[in-house]
Amino acid sequence: MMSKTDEIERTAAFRATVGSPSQARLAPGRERLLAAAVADQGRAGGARPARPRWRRPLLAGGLTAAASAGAAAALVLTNGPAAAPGQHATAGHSRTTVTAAWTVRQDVNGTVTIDIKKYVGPAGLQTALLEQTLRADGVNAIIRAVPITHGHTACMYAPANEAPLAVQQAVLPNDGVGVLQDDVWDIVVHPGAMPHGSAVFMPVYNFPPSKPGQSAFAGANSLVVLTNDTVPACVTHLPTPKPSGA
Amino acid sequence: MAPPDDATIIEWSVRDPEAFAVLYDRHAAALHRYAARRLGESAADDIVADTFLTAFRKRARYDPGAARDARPWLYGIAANLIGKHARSEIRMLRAYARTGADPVLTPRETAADDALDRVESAAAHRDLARALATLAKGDREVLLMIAWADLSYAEIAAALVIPVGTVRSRLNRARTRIRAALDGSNPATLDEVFL
Repeated sequence: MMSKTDEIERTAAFRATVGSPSQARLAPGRERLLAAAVADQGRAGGARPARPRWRRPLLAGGLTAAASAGAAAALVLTNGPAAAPGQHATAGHSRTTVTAAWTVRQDVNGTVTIDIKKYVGPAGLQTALLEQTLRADGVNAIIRAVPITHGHTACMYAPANEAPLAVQQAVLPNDGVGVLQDDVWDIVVHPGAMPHGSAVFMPVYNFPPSKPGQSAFAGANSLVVLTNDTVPACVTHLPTPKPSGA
Repeated sequence: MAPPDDATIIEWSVRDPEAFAVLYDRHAAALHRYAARRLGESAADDIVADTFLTAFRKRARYDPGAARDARPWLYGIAANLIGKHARSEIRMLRAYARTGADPVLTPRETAADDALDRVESAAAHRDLARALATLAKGDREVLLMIAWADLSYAEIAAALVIPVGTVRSRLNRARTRIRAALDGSNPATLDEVFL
C-alpha cells in the first residue's frame, strides 16, 4: 500500500512532459489583453477634463463616401426575421445590419447586440455607419476611434459625463465590457433603459499589423453611458483620481 | 528594490490598464501548462486568454487585502473556464485509459513520454487516468490544483471560494479513489455517472 503522498506524487508525474508554452504561443493572448487594456484606457474613469462641445460628425459625407467607395462596407439592411442573402438567419431578430467591419442586431425585445469584427475598416466610414445604424435602432451612440501611434494609444477618452452606475448596469450588461468570441467583440446594449438625453459612448481602436503577415487587430470592448451627448475629451494624461471617500 | 507584488500591479492597472500585462507575463506560462495538462495546448490557449481577459475586467474588484499573490484568483477563474470542458476532459482521460494514447499530449510530448523508461508507470498512468475520470468535478479540481498548480490548501480554498475544510475533504475523497485505483481495487464503477 502506498502512502497518501504517493497519490499526489503519482498525479504530479502524470502528463509531466507537458512543457511550458513558448512565447509565440502566449503572444496572442497577451495581445488580446493589451487590446482590452487599450480599449479600457479609452474610457478610463475618474477624469474631469474640460468638456468640448460635441461637434456633429459628418455622417452624410461619410455615408456618401462609403457608398461610392463600395469596397469596404457591404451594407445589408433587413427588416423582420428573414435574412438577406449572405446573411446568417437567426430567429427572433427584428433587424440586422451587416458590414465587413461589424454587425448590429436588434432583437424583438429591443436589445441591441453589436459585433465588432476583426477589422474596423477605413477611418471614419465604418464608425459613422455604425453610429447611424445604432441610432436607427434606438441607441444614441457616439463612436470615436482611439488614436494609435507606434502601437500605443496616443490619448485616452476620459468621460466627465458618465451616467450613474445603476444606469450603466441597466443599459450595458457585463459592465459595458464586450465578450470576445472568435476574434469578434460581442457587445449588448439595452436602449430601453437609457434615460432621456443620454448617449452610449464607444471607443474603437485598430492596431495595424506589427509585422509582415500579421493581421490588423481591432475592436471595441468597453462602452460607457453618458448623461448627455457631449463627446469625451481624448487626453494624454489622466487627472489624479479623487481619494476614495472624498 | 523588490518588484511590486501582484496586488500592487492590479491596483496600478486600475489607473494604467496596460500594467495588467505584467501579471500576464508572470503567470500565463504556468497557467497555460496547467490548462494544457488538463485539456491540451489548443484549449489552453483560449483558457489562458479568457482567464486574463476576465481577470482584467474584474480587476477593480480585486481585494488586495485578501491576497498579495494573484495565483489563487487566476486559477479560480481558470477553473470555471476549465469546468465548462469537463465532459471533454473526462472523454480524453478515458480515451487514454482505453488506448494508452493520450490525446492531451502533443507528438513531441508523447515522444518525450515514451522516451522515459517507464513501462510499469505507463500502465499505472492509464489506471490513474481512469480514476481521474471517475472523480467528481470538484474533487478532481482540488487534486489537480495540489498536484499540478502547487497551490496550498488555503490558496485552493480562495481560488474555488470554498472553506479549507472542504478542500481537505475533497482531497481526501480524491486520494482514496486514486489509491484504490492504483492498488488494483478498481473503484471506477461510477464510470458513467459523470458523463
